[in-house]
Amino acid sequence: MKLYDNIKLTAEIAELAQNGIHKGYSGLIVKCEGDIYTVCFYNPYNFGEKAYAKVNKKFLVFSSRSDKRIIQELEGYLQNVKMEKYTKLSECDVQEYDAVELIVEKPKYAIAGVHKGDRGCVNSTYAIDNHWEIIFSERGTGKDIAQIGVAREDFIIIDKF
Amino acid sequence: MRIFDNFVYKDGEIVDNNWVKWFHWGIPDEKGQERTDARNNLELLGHCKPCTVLSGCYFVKSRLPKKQAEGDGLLHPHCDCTLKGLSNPTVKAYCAIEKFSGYIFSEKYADNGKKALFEGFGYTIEDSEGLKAEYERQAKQKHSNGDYIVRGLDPQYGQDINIVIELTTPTGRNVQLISGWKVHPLGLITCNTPLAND
Repeated sequence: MKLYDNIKLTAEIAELAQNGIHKGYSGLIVKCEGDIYTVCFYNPYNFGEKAYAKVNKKFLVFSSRSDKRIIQELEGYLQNVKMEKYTKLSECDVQEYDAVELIVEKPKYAIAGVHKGDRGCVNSTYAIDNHWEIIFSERGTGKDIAQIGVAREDFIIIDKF
Repeated sequence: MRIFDNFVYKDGEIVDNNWVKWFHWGIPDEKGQERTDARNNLELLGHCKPCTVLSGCYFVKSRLPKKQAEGDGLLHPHCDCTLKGLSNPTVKAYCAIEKFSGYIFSEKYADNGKKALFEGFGYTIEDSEGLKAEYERQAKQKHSNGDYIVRGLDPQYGQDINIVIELTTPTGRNVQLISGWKVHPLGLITCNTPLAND
């Protein structure tokens, strides 16, 4: 394994788990200091969310080598990133086919025809930037109102799959 | 629409079947860890999520994902994506059985009316396997022929398309249902919903 390789975490480590980083999570090695690697971990349940953490390389396994062009861009990007800002990943309590209800009235949902109290079905296995893809349907007609991304804090789960 | 309707002929020979592959550099076509790693890394670097999720997907040239903003670039200004010609696109369609057994016929979603609609056609939850197979068969055929409608959604999860499914119901009715599908790399489409909006 070397700098800018993609890895997977092979063990559940208490220090990382309390920050939402669990066994099986993927990441990118961004710094190597002896046996201690700084890894940018990605949340598999929330695409776009990342957390930086130090971990002993014995808990990592090689996943894939990064494209050369990606490495070139990474070298520039990592010089300016404030890693201390990104230390935790959120835990996931949503799964595909969960029945949900919108609990807010917001213009970004109303413009799609979806309002507070509307019910829908989760249509994705992961969130993107904390938004889940949900299909909302009209009650009684079977017609879909909209298929939109909804922020996690804007809906409740009314029935688990 | 038939498959040959999309072909371009010159002097009696097919010079273009009008199928293209969406391409963003650095992303393997095959679904798997390598593709996930590449998408994660490109997202970290600020590359557009819809562009990276579309990479590897097949479209008919006349039915491409809609531009997100005016200007140069396939999807948005300064977009890194290009289109590559495809000689023999193979299309596959997959509908999870849960789309029927866990959604259409589920009591949990009964108040949306879809269960009543399908039961009114004479279908029950026991027909889930048969419906799944018929949806897959028709979706594959129609998608191969370019017979789909591109939905104008922000494709963060992938481009959604609509395909009309024609059924002869147990009650003897001929019905046309608009189904929703998501486009994945290498010609795969998966069913979002057996009964979508029109």
